[in-house]
Amino acid sequence: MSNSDANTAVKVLLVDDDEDDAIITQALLQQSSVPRFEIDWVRSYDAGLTRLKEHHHDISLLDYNLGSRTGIDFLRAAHSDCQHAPIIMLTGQGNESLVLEALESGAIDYIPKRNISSENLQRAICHGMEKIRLQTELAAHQRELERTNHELKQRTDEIQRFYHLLAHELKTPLTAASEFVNILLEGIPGSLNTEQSEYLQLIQGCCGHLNRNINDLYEITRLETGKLSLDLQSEPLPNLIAEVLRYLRPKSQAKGISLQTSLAPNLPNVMMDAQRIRQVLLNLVGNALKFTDPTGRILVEACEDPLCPGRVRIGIQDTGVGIPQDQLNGIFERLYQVEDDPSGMSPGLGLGLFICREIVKLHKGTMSVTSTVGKGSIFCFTLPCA
Amino acid sequence: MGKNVLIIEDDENISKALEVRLNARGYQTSTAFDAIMGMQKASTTPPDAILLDITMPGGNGLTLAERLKASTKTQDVPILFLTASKQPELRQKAMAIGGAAFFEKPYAFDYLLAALRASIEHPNVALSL
Repeated sequence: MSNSDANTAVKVLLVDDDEDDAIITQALLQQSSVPRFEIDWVRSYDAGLTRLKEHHHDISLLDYNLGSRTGIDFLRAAHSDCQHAPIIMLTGQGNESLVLEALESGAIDYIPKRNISSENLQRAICHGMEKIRLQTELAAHQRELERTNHELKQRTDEIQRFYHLLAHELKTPLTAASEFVNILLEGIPGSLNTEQSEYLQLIQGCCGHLNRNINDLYEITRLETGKLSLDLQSEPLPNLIAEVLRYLRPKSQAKGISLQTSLAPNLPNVMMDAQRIRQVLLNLVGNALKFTDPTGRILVEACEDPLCPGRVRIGIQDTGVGIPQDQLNGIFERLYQVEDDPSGMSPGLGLGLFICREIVKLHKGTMSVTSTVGKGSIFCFTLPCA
Repeated sequence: MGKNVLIIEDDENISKALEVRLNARGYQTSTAFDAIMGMQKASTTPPDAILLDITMPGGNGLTLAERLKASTKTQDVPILFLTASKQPELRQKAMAIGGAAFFEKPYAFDYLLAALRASIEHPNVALSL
């Protein structure tokens, strides 16, 4: 009981058909000044239930023997009304199975009549009321949490729907723009001079960049709303690596960068969502291409992880500009931006590596980087063997 | 005589771009801008292949594809799906209906063309890119 209501009387309903016992209980309660008890005594089962359901009391004291009925019958009858005051059972029987039955039937505590004293009654009543107060508070918190959780889920679904719509509405005009640039580049309406082709290729590059940003924004939303799920299958890595390198080779050749692989023989299959790991490889090798100077070299390696059996380790090593040590820790963080980007290219949204790491984590793998400025970087990730 | 491709796409710009690029490669094209018009055109003169957008007014492309696959006139016409939506379940649904290929926009036209050619020559092979 808090100090603020220490002077308020605690309203006690006493249900006891034994007049002597009831008089003793009342006398013991009246010995207490803080808290002060206001006692409402009824002698019968029916009168007790009626008064209980009026909800005028803070707590009830219930005798086990109630004529032809018992306190357990009373507790069970009271059970349907969850708003009633907490009930403490007074029992002269003192056997454990009765106590258990009383507690299971809804009593919050019990006092053997042979141990009854002013202190025991006062302590049991105060503990009982505090217990109920805490239970009520807990239930209110739980309801609040459930409500908040429901609202958050609705909000998450709304955000997800918005990003679906956004991706659709941005990609539709982007596709049209990109396609008409391609039509011009193909010379379908007429031939172009070199400068015109060059400008159109710049537009095409911008369209590609915009598309990657839309994809990253969409992916990040799926990751953060827990909607990104994997379709894990036992798959061979060499095929996927070859496919990714085949896709990126025109870019590496245009830049004069050597793109090589070193794959261990008999590499076991890994458990992966091939679409997602393709995305990781495209991002990591794409970054290596971005930050490696012409005549540089990129090597994609894969072998069983010597430090962690049961895993395959994939490494992407470049001879690029490298990353300063003080930036290595933050490189996989959301919205990370390269400081003084030596490539001179647009910094992007800073989501690519974060998305890669999260995808690898969803595969129960790890991702790491080592780097030396001026010499290059090695990005590694692991995947569990199938 | 070039193969006939029906483009069912509500975005007129994308539809036009597809027509221009396909025509330049010898394909004959017709267009429909919603699902109802698409069903009518496909049923009246079944094309050799259909490029079908998924999100369209007048019913979505998946529903239209189911109807096309249920019709004896169009059941064997390969359908190549296009979508600007990134909902991952669309790909599975599209391929389950019997799509010959599935492309996210912006698509790589060379791959689209290769899939179109393959689907006309080998109608029972499905691609998902």
